[in-house]
Amino acid sequence: MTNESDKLREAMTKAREIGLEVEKGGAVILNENLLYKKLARDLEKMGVIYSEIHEAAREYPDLFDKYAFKTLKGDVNKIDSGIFLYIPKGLTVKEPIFNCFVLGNKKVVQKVYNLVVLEDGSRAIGVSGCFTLVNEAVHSSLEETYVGTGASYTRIMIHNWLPSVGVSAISSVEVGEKGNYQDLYINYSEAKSISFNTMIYQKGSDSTSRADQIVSGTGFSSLKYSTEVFLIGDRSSSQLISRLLARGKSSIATKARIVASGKLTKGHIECKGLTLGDGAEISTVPELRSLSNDAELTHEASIGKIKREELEYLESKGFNEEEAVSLLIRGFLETGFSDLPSTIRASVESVLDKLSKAKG
Amino acid sequence: MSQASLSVSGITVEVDGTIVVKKANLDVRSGEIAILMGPNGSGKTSLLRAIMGFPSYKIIAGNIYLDSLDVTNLPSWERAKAGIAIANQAPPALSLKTKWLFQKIAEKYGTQEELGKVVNEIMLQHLLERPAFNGFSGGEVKRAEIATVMLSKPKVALLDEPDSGVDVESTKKIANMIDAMAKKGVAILLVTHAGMLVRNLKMLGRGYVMINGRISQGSNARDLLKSVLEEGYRNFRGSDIQ
Repeated sequence: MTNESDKLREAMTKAREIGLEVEKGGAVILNENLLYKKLARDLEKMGVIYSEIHEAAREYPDLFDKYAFKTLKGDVNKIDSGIFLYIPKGLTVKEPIFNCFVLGNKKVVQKVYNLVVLEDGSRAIGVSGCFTLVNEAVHSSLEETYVGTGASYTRIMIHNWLPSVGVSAISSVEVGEKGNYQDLYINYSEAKSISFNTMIYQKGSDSTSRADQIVSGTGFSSLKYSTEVFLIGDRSSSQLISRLLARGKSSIATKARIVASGKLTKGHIECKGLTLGDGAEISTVPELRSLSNDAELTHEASIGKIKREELEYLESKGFNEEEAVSLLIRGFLETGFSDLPSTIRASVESVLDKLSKAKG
Repeated sequence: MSQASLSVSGITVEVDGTIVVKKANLDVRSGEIAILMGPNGSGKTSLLRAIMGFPSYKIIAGNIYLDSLDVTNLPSWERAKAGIAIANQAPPALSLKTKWLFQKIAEKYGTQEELGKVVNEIMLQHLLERPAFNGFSGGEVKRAEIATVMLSKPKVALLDEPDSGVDVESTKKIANMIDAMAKKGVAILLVTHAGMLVRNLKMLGRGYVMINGRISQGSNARDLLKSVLEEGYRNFRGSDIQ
């Protein structure tokens, strides 16, 4: 029989494979429980709080009451586990904090709630990896993020589920004045279904956000994503970028929406899809809504397949068809996400390399 | 069969049901720069692409040899690995970053150490982060293609008008690079219309003229160039065309 510590070890190994160095600072939630957590002592001394969500509700009731479940509906008593990350005013945490959410048993339904708070002027990078050790399980998550005045948060999330896993995720982000939120999401799993909704509320003036989605569908996956940005603060701006790669009989549907109500706001949606299988399907719906007469909102979208002439060109340079296809996919997946910390750039590039070579 | 590095023996090439090259013969020795001239639409690019093995250019008769290896039925990527490289006149815009294209080619041919030098020589640093051939000027396209050939360490280089759209200084640099490749023993088949590049080359060998898909051999490249520049192609429309 495999016990919990064996599964934790397996989870840590799998985390390392996708570049999540949890031992350097991070946590592992296996099924319903947080089994591993590590944070550098000097960060604790500087006021960083990194704790299990129920513990946070007990130990830090004022903070919890102030921030938890303010933009999303929920009840901490109905949650299995989750992470509370709190970065105090003015503090920059340079090293990424790695969070792993792992399904380790069949039929398990993992209900997670994460709360991330960056006080004014603080900076941090959160890297989340969500994956399974077994099939036939469900991950359901809620996440609220608060980026204070002049604060900056970069979130990188990698989904790597097995088939017959269902995923439902809702993420809500509030960005304050001159705050900056960067989000890079990569899915390269065969999950049976993923439904992921993200709302970004840019209440602060001069706030900025960028959300990049790199989604690979394989097998019979049904993947649905919705991202909405509300440009409420004056001169706030946002970019939503997506690269959708549908193989096999997979289906990917995305909705990207920017609603501009602040003065002199700017928003841009860019969505590119590539279908590689005869039964693969991509649909994308960009929506721009202006409630202000001086907003600048643009979008571009395209769906296509690999062009024969590009393939033949690379073959003439010595790449066989499989290598040429991988190279072109790798190029396609590049979104130009520039805020990738150097510490995890190699990991993300490795994931994208694997994704470009994957079949299905 | 000739002992030349590249030997094209009586090939006929068809594209979409149309014969574009007719029974062409051509040899290029190791270290030789042979030039191929001819009016627009005469079949020069088709011949180069057929030698490289682009699938749309079907060889319906004849053979192509790389040294003693018959490559006629090999796919283009195997011809490339065997030692044939092409600098295309109009490569497609790729979704791949220029630096990745160069890196991957360098990895494939073990020329990673030469990558920096090649990029410097060809003055392409400013393009490395951009998707290859997207929004490049004519001259930048040509220089980037020459770079891919240099990184491939070929035995045979097929250069399709590497000087068109290139400024004077860059033309001289390209000439030096072509000479340097020839000095290393690369057999070079150069398609060109202009005299400036040819005049700057030191390692010139034979010259060929192509008219209506057929090839004629001139005496040598310099004499051929002189003749074409002075009198055009009218001298090659007679009996010397095969």
